[in-house]
Amino acid sequence: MLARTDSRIRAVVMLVVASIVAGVIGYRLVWWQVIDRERLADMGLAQLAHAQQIPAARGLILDRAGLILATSIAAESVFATPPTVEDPALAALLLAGILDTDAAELEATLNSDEAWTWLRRRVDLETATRVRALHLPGIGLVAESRRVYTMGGAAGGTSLAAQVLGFVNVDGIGQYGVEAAEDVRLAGSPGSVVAQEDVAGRLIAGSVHELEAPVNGADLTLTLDVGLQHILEEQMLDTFTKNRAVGVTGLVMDVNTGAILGLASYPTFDANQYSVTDPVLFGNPAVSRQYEPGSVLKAVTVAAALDAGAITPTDLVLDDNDLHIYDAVITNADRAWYPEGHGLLTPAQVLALSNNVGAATIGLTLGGERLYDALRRFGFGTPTGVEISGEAAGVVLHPDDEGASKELTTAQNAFGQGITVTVVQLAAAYAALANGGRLVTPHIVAGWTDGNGTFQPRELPAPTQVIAPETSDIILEMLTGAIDNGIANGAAVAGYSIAGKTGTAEIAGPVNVRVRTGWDANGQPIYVDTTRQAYIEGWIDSSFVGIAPASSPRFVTIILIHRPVVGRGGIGERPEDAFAELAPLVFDYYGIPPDRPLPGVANQ
Amino acid sequence: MAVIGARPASVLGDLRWGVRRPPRPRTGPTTGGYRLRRTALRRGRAAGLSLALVVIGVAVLLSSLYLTQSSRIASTGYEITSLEARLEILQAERQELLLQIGQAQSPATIEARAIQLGLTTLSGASVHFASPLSDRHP
Repeated sequence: MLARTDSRIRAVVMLVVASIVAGVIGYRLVWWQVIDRERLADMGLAQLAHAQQIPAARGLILDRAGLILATSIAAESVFATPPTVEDPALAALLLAGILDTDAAELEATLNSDEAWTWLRRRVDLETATRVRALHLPGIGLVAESRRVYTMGGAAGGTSLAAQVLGFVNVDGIGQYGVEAAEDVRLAGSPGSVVAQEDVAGRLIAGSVHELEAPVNGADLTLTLDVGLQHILEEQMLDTFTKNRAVGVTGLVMDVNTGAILGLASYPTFDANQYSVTDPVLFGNPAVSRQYEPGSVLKAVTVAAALDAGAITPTDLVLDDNDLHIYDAVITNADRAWYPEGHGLLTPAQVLALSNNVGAATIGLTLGGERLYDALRRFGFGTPTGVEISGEAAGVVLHPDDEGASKELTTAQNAFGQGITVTVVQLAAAYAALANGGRLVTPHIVAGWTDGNGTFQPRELPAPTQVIAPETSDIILEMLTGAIDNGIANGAAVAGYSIAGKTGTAEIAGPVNVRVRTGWDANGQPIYVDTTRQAYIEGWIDSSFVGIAPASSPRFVTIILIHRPVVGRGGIGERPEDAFAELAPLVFDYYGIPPDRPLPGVANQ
Repeated sequence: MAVIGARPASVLGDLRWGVRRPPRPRTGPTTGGYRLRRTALRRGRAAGLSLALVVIGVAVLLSSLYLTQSSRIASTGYEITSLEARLEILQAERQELLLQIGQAQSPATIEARAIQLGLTTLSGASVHFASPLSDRHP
């Protein structure tokens, strides 16, 4: 009996011990599987799963008709892990031929201590296939995409609208132009996936732990018209060549909406070959270069004075070619032919003759404060917001500002000196003169198509009324007279009414001067060579702004020739002459009928 | 030879089954109660065997299901990889086609093709318009 009882006690003890052990194990199981499950699962997953980025496709850039200006194609980038490259010399020799690089440079890279390095980014698929076929240890490829600009420019070795579009760098980031200004919208946002991978690096189905789908970039539709852009680029190339200029810029804008239809500059570049291009060419001079506009600004001065009631169209101003302000004298460009000036002039004649003294007198009559307000109201001194990166604001000084010269500043600004503007600002101001006085927003993005295929038009601020519609009508008539009867009649196009204004402004630049700083012990003058900013003889910006057809304005066109070679007979091709060559092609392209009788045709 | 106080063959066995080994009959014929206990014991063992078989069967079934599922996941993975590769090829072809479309629509390309066909480029000076205000077209 005693032995049996002893056995039962031991059994109970063992049962208790086993229960405790089972309880502890059970507790730990519950702890691992239920209470601390999430943390432990994450730890396990972190060892097994890998995060991969899912790149977003960059959107297309299309012209206003949907023609493709920029797209992306599949490419691969070649990388190396130098420590695992078995024979750097041989690998460099083999790769140099395929990647078109220097073998010695490549060998140095492969012999470096870096754990990982790019050898060449975004090569085409054919090159990638050739690299892959070498089966070189330590050399690998990664799939990427490469931006391609589909259309060739008017000149060989250029792409269409390169300075408008910009380009995308090797890291996939938009640089310059629309690519930079609209980079966020075009690039979209990459997604990511956290999942287990097999030995080949492929994701294992059903092991996806986290998935964030990429949002592809939107397709951007521009206001640019490829056909007109080509015509404009051909004209700019021709003007550039004839003038042997440092640069030319042409712009065609819809006066009623501010939509930029064509924007071309020379010299330009091939956006597909940006890596071998002088970076000076990347910017768009129409938005980034601010310059003194010269006489084209007289139209704004006259419009502001008419609108403010400071003058009427029948008022007369005296031009004696000798307007003294402080110690400065304002004279006319035609002083050699009219040394005594033109006498009494109407505002229309001031514009037709591009008379400096008359414009300065009108500006002074309006007053410095009101002229400054008008210039700011027309948008000068403020970036327009056009979707091209690198836009400058221009400089408009209040007559009382530091650095300004009160009435002299007012007089100078009245005929376009002492103020800097951009081509796009000037186009917007002239559009306001032509469209009933509304300052529209210059823009080059019409809208974008999102991932759902829905087109979202760009929202533009409401136009601002900067002058009365009646003033707009009067100034348009005066500018039409400036072509028909004025010095800008080179811009006339048979059968069409054209309004416009020419402008020529000297360009300031660094000038080496010798300055006397004192006297030495022998009484001899001491000179120091230094550099100052001053107007340079022969350096000019020659421009023309045209509104066509003047009877029912549709386009404002600016042609700016930067530093043409000035000879005895003037420059190679004046901007108004270039306009006269361009305008018929634009009328023909858009099917705009003549609004005036054609000489020799009306009576046939 | 019975040993007083000897341990049973398996304590756990006794505990597990809860059945105490019946005392060996000393003399005479078996009683009815003993037969019943032996029958119950046999039935208990049969039931245990059946339970074990069921457990094994379920385990085999679950294993088969697991293996089938794993196999399906693996094959689906390969299918996805294959489809992804196909998708990449198609996307690359689409991109290439977009590029070709863009190049074909380029005015420079069209102009070059037009010149090849014997057409000439238009200059501003060569454009002449008929007047809508002429007598012929009142």
